[in-house]
Amino acid sequence: MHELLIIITTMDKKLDILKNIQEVEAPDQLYDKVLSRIQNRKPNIISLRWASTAVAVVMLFIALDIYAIYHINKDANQDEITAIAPVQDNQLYYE
Amino acid sequence: MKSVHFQDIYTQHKNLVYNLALQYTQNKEDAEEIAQDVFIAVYDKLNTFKAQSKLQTWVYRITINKSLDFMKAKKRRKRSFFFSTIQIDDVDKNITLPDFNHPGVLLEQKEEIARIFRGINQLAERQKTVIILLKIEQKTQAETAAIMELSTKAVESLYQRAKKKLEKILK
Repeated sequence: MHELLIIITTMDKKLDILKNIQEVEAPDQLYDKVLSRIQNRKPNIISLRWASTAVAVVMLFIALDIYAIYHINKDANQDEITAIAPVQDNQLYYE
Repeated sequence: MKSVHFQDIYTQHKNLVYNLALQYTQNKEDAEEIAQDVFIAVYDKLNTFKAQSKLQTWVYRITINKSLDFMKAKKRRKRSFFFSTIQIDDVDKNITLPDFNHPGVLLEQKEEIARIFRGINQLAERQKTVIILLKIEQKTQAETAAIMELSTKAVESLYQRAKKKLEKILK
């Protein structure tokens, strides 16, 4: 523990030399370069490939929804018919 | 309106950004490139800055993130260059490129400070950041905690681990 403390204190002293690093002025041309990059940026256009993929995914979901709705309705109709005319499928009590 | 506001922000923070980038890269050209990236990000995000922290703290965070991203990208480029030509076991330790070009370092101290920076460059990102903020930028623990969005205890813990690791590296 004592050795650890010595190591840490020694390291603190070694790192103190970093306090001597002086602040420097940013380059004069930096602002112009920043403005130039901002002004020359291309507008964010979504690539055709990504747009096509997104459309395909949306179409797939719509198709799945339609399929699901169709089958739910079909099953609902089946249930209505069964309710009106119950089907006796118990062959033990064949009448 | 935005451009006037942005120019004020630029003027107030240009040296902060450039010098902080220098601490990460120790190289004028790289620091300038990072500084450009930072101010472009500031320009883009100005409208979304909600003043939940001080503006300076916000700019510090952007600079730190852009610096770390830049260094990661630079390391990846170096690795791909070297592995495409020769096989090296450990790129970071065996290859030393003459990148140390820190204009804020006095000539008589250059060798010693360059040696310490070689150690700092091998630290994990958060340990590196905490050393830079505490020992070079001379921020207090509270200020460092605000910038890094950590508690002061976490900052202290990171600092202690960073020093222990540096001790091993610099032996």
